[in-house]
Amino acid sequence: MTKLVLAPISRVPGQVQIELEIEGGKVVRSKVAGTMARGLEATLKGHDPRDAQLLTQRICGICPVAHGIAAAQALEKAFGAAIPENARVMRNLLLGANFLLTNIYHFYQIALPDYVHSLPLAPFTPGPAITPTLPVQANAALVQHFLLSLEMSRTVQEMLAVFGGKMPHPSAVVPGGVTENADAQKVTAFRSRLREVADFIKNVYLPDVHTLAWYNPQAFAYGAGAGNLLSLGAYPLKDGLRGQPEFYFKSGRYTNGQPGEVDPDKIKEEFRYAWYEGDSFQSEKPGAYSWVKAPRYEGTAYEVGALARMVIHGHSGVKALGDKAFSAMGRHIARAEESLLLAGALDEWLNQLEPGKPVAVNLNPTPLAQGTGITEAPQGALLHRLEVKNAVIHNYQVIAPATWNASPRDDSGKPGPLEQALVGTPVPDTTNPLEVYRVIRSFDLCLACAAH
Amino acid sequence: MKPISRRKFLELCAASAATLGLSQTLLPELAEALNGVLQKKPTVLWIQGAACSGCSMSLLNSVHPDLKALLTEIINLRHHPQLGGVSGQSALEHLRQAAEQARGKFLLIVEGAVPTAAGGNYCTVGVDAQGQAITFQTLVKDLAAKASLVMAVGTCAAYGGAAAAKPNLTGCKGLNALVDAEKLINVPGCPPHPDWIVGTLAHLVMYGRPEVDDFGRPKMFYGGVVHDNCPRRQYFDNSTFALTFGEPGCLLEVGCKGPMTFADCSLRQWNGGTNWCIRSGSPCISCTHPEFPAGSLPLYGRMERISFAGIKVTADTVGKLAGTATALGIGAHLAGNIIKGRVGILKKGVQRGGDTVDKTGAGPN
Amino acid sequence: MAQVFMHPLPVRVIHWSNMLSISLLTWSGAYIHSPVSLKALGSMDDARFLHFVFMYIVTWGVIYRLLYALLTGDHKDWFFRPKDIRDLPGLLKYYLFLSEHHPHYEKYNPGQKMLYTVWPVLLIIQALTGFILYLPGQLGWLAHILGGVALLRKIHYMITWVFVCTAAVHIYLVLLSGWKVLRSMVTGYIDEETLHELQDE
Repeated sequence: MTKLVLAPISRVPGQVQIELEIEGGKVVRSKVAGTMARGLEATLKGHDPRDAQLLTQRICGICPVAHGIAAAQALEKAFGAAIPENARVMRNLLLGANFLLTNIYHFYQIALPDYVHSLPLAPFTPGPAITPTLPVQANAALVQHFLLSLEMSRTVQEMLAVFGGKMPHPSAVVPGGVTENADAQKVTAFRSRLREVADFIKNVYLPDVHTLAWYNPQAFAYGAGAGNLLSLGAYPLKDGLRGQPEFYFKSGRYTNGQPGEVDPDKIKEEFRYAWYEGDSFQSEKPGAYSWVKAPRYEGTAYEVGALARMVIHGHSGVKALGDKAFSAMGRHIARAEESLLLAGALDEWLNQLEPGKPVAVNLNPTPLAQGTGITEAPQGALLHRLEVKNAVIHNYQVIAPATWNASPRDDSGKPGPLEQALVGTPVPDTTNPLEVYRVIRSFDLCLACAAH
Repeated sequence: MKPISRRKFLELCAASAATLGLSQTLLPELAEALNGVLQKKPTVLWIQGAACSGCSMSLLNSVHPDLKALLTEIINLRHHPQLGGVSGQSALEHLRQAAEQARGKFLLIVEGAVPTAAGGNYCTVGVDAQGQAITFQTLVKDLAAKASLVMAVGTCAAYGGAAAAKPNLTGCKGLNALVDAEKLINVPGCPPHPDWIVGTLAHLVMYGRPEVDDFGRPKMFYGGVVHDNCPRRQYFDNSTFALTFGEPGCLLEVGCKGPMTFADCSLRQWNGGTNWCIRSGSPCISCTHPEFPAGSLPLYGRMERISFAGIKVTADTVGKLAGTATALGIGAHLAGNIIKGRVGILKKGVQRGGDTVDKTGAGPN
Repeated sequence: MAQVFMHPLPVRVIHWSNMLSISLLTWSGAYIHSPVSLKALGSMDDARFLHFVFMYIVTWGVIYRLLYALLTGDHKDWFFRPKDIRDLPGLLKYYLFLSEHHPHYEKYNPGQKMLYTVWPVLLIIQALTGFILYLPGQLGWLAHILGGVALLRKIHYMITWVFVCTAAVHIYLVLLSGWKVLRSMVTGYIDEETLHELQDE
């Protein structure tokens, strides 16, 4: 048996350390550890509840919109505010733009260098030692698209800033709605960039993923995990304050092949193997190995992310993959398909904006309240829980997507989704466990979110 | 290997992108050529600690030059954990080698705060050959000692920022607490504008260290106040205030911190001039300020509550209570005086007489 | 009737200058603090202009008053010293109607001394915090050392309330003593009879 400790893992936001036990050329046991914590939840305590929206964005510079929206929702639920239609639509546009940004960024900047020879330019080189599987021309095209994707990242962030004020950490989502007004110029400025990005997704990103998949069929054979999926739902199609919201990406679970409902109250964070005691840090805790807690739904670990969303949404392309979807490559396909779906949806939602109509209502904070904000970040299910006492934040809890995916073992000792997915991954060369990296990066991990 | 021209280099780059696979054999030659060009560019090593990656994402938004041009024409970015190649121990080894090769000459860019509590264990960036965790604190100290200059990108790296907000369980510090001021340049912002990062880099490459203010920020970007050049400034002067988001008017009453914020956002605008906070109707949160976020709270109000025996009350409440108590006290005292006959209709008279006496004790005036 | 000379001209001029400045600063300051609920001034521009003009006048007022005290030694009359503490209970008893006997004091009673000692201290703090807020670029470093701009704003605001409350008490007690006392701050003189009445009531 060989033991491997992999750290740092480059091209993964935040700090992560992976410990592997390898037997017979395969991973038999794995530990995923988040090695950075900031304790941001504690910094919210005692402040004006409305501050949560901008402060929790600081958890992540890659998916700040999702945190902002989740916090705003938690506040609106707590204080009983119904946001105007324009605000609902604009938030969907902002979140959608954040999805496109992250999905494109993730594929080209994070995942691709594990499959192709990258640019012979620092800091991209030295890159991972790979045996090229792609024909020369295909490899060259992908590298060119890698450069193009950098421009796309900028274009999508500009698109987001049209209604979001700026990106990263957009300012325009506020408790009670949004701050930016809709007008024809902004709609056009957004649409013009959206079309450019949609073209890229349709003609470059999605074909690239399929090219990569075609030449790397073995990447469908590992990284499956337990196959339990969860999505909290995102993109409300009508305001859900009174009654259940209706989501474009539905909420739901997929447990051992069986679909099911989600009740957010049944999500609990366990921390037997995390450096916590309740909400406080315990850096000397014996047996613990990660700053990430272990969220579980009725005791079960669920994978979250684009794959979960697409399976629960019932996306035909992802469904057609069957069990192959649950793999290192399957996740990339799900992400690309989702991007295409969203690009189309955003174009439609843009028509729902009504210039001249209000974009925000004033929140009437009460001294005692609690609320839950639920949405999907690009990386997966996102939950914010807020408790207000004495007109200030008494308690705040964030369960981020990577908290699920990169979670350590739970109270019953069951491993987290990535830990499960790593088991069985072939490691032909322990000095270069490329397949392991491919599995890790098939999850859109953000360790800054995970431990926050 | 003779150095190649920029034009030749770009041609090579384009060619390599188009025919990369074909030229597996050409690759070493190209790499060497690149080295020739890039050796003239300053080596830059970028490391991330208690960060959210927002600063790196912001760098992608640089328009002129874009990231590609930045990397090929201005700097030789030898290490960036999020853009960069290898993982595992070889990543740290590569970082160490790069630092040794350019010892005393390279620029270290730090993104994210430095956790110092619990021996720095709140952020470890890898393991050494013995399997011991290497803390970010150690890495920063090690590399900062070898660097010619350290650039703190983002408010977290510069002053602690969001990561060091109270109660700061992880003991996060900004580089202003860890690196000598002469060796440090701060480019704060949450995130910083890409122009601030690239512009500071360009200044370093072309003219050396830029002039900085009391907080180590380049004056060319942080010299003016947001409020002074705010497009909504006339609203402020005329007292037209927005009370609900989305309304026209100065955003002071919804919490704008523009008057205390040193940055050129109002002139530069964000995301290639697409928009920026105040233009989009959102208050400035003073994200470039050394006291961000604590100094900017409440983000949507003007003054934070005061803690009073465990209860948080607004300063206005305290003031009004004090005022009311004073008024009541005076009223009650006046009533007492009247009843007791010290003043008013029941007043008792006292008769006395005497000469003029100087009571000033300061001589005649 | 015999007249007692109480207040030399510089003291009177500075007194009324300070009174005017502090009133206008409080007024304009309140407007700057809450321009929407207080419509007491035309615009933020006017309020800031007023605030900045009288900021300078009151600063000079404080400087001149302290210089005057230093040159003439008149602070011996009004500076609160530890020995004044033992005089306090008698005064308090009188004010709280526990005693009808007003103890005899020198020029000012210990309550007055306390007020006249606290005011210049508070004015110096106001000037310091005020100038830091006025010159965030030049004095940003000082703000940072002293705990941050947000804290200094809070201090500046709360001290204003202390002025509002103590000035109210001051005016009330002056009026309670009668208009002759008020007149003495204009003419400088008070008739001896009133003075003794006040001191030994």
